[in-house]
Amino acid sequence: MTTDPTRDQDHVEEGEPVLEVRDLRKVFRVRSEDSRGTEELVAVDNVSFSLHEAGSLAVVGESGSGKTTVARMIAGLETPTSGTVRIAEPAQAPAAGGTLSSRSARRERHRRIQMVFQDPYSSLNPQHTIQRCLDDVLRLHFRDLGTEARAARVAQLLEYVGLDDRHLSLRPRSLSGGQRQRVAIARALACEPRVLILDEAVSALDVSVQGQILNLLGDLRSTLGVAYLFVSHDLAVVQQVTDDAIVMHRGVVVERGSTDEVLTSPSAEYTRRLLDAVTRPGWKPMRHSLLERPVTRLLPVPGRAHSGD
Amino acid sequence: MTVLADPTVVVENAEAQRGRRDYTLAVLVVLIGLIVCAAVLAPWIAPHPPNQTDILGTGAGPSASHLLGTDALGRDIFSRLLYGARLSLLGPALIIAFATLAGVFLAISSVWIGGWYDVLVSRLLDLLFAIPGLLVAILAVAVIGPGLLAPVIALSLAYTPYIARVLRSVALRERQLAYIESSTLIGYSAWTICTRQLLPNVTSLIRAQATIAFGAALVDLAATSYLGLGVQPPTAEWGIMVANGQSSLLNGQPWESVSAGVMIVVVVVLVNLIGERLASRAENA
Amino acid sequence: MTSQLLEVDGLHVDIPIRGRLRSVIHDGSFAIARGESLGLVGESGSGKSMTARTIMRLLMRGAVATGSVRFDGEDVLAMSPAKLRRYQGANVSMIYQDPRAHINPVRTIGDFLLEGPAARGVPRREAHDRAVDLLGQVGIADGGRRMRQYPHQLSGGLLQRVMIASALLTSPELLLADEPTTALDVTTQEEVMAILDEQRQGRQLAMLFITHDLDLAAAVTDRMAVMYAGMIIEVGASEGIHTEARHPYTVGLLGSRPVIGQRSRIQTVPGRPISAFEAGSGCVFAARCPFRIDRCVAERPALRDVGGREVACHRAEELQGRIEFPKEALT
Repeated sequence: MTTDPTRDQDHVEEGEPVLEVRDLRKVFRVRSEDSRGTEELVAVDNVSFSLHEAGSLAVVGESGSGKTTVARMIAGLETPTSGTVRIAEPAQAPAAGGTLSSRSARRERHRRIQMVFQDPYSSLNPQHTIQRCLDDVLRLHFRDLGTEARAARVAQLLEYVGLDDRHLSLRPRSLSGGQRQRVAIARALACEPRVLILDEAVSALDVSVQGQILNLLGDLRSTLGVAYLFVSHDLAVVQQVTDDAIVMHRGVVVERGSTDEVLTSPSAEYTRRLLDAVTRPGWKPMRHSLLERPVTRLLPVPGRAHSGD
Repeated sequence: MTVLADPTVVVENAEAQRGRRDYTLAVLVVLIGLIVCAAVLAPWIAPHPPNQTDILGTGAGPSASHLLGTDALGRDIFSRLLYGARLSLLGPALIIAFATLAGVFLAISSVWIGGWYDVLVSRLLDLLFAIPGLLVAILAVAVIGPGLLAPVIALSLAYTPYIARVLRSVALRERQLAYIESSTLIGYSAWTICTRQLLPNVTSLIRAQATIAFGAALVDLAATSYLGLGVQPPTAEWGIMVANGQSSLLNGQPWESVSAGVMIVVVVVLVNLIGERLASRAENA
Repeated sequence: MTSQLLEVDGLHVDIPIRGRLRSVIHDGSFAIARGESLGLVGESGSGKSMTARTIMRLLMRGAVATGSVRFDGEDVLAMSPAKLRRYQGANVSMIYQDPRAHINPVRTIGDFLLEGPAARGVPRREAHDRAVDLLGQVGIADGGRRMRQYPHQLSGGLLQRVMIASALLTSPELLLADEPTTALDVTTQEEVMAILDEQRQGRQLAMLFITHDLDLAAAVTDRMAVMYAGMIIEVGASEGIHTEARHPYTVGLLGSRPVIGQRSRIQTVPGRPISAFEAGSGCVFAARCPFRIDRCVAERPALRDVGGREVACHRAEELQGRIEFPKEALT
């Protein structure tokens, strides 16, 4: 991970949020439609929010909303153009046991925040067994944990996500999508992060499996006290796992509030449109007038493939 | 209580895991193995010392004591073939070993580092690729002098781009996948990710490429010896034997050239077939 | 009897997977009347996409289909090449989940749209005007300009509308829609679905609508068939699906989806959806069904009439659709 002056990793005081994002902004240079020269695309435009200990915040939006870019900037996979991200220090006494070695300090930032990706089919190394996948993470972060203690911790992590030792010697290709996502969650939890980002983590799963994973995520939050940043386009899913929500449209936050408020009495036109589009018993598709673009956005990039038209 | 996952393993993939028996591949490998064994055991199985001349028995045809006859200096061709195998196989092995090491390093580092480094390495490889291996070998010999060393060095350089280029595009594709990104996020060092996450997922392709390149390297090396630039007489080696036997060929005694030539062809064909099979397995994985 | 536009009877399809022939559809039987819209709902491995491809006779090499697929009385699986071309070109149209994979990226939208009519000998001017008109009907106002553009210049939603226009251009009698909106944003999905529904009703077009979303299917179809592991396990009117569903899987699927306004633990169906070849010889859903009895594992239930719906479940009358899945999964 590159060092980034705008990413302040200082200790966050008790009582303060575990994640604080201020005026986050990301501007990309893209080729313009006539292929002559480039222009700016503001993917994320001054986004701010905070997440509290064991809280759960949804970042809702469709493609082009910037929600994934926000998540990636917070995780450190993308550098913000401007703005700050502050994440609370990881717990000093690891649940895995043992003590942290001094070398672990360099790894510390990876113990503050972890992410589960959307595609279960490419987020695990195809050559590694599940055992190796989890064991390697423990070795990396908790250096003086003995072999037995590590094995015990791996067993515990599997239990958390509803898998068992039958799955240890298997490689990802022998697992279903739902099982792979469970492994991905276990792997993320192995680092004992304060914040877990779930980037469309259930979107690629079958409906009957989605429910299992959603229930699982709910259970984990109450058991482990980890905070969730849940990025999704699916409002019904968001309702299950989150307490608060922000809605993004073309890089701008158009609405924020508790999930219940946002879903039952939204104030922004876009949120209403999004809600109307969710299929439910008795739903019928309706045609709507063109949605207005949010005012603060700079030059939109013509020809760029957004699915919203 | 947490929600339990379904314990059943995905059927079709479980079966594929057990590996599909490829009998043809096994046979090919055994054949090559036999040749390698013969080369290794040459000192023990060769009926005559390779350099033992017999002025009275030159140019003899096949007989009981000389299975393939003798060459212009009366040396036993069969024994020279066996001893020759050692150099003819060792040379390409060294070349490919070096080319693979260098190619893997260059490909993976360019994919990981990207930017100007990637561009620089790519241009360098393009340059190497553009110059025919044989030419480089000839130039090397001109500088260092005849013998095995110069061609091996030159061909090692010449074959590096073969491995590197193919590997680079596959590695590039792998690198985009989520598991590499999540490795970064988990905190593994770049070295660890490249060697323990990325590399294992491209080894099947490396094996395939290296095997195919082996055949080509063998031919190139034999060619340098044929031209008199590589291995020098009286050392036994297939390329030299092809050259030495030419005059006898015109006199009606093809045994030396033909047997050495056939050995080269046989080995190259076997190796190519193996390489092709490995390549299609790598693709299907 | 040709009152039904499409009749599928006893369809079995095997496809090659990793070199071996595997069953993906088992004993498929259903019918679509003229102008009727039938939904085909299922998750991965259910065989729903394969059903559509079989109806179009667009199966991959090595696939084996037995049974009958009768379009207007004629068996599609036994059609001669000439008849098949006409069938695939004019009688039936299909729209796919990923429009980009089905449009040549180096040719214009106009080329794409006019290819079919040109092959049938329609004069270019007439075909062009019809195409522009159709584009207008699917909500693309500046059709002429769009026809000169290339696929990469259009968003997913626009491209899918172009696909719909292209499908309608041949004036088909049956439209097969294979998850046409799954890859689109939800607001775009609503728009595209509204257009599709409008067009279909306006033309009295028969449609087979494939999706994993029960509520979506209920919105645009007259009847729905639910598939699981290659078998149709329930068929009935779309209108009452939420209250009238009889098969445990259908009920489970209905309950798996969180409902806005209700925050409670989701009733989950334990396990994961399987393909036809992974199911045993009894009921395909037996392994995951909390209501299974010995008979279910031993004997595969056939589709039969239960209270106005067709259900493939031995216990359909007994359970009466009053099915509650445990909130925790069973091992």
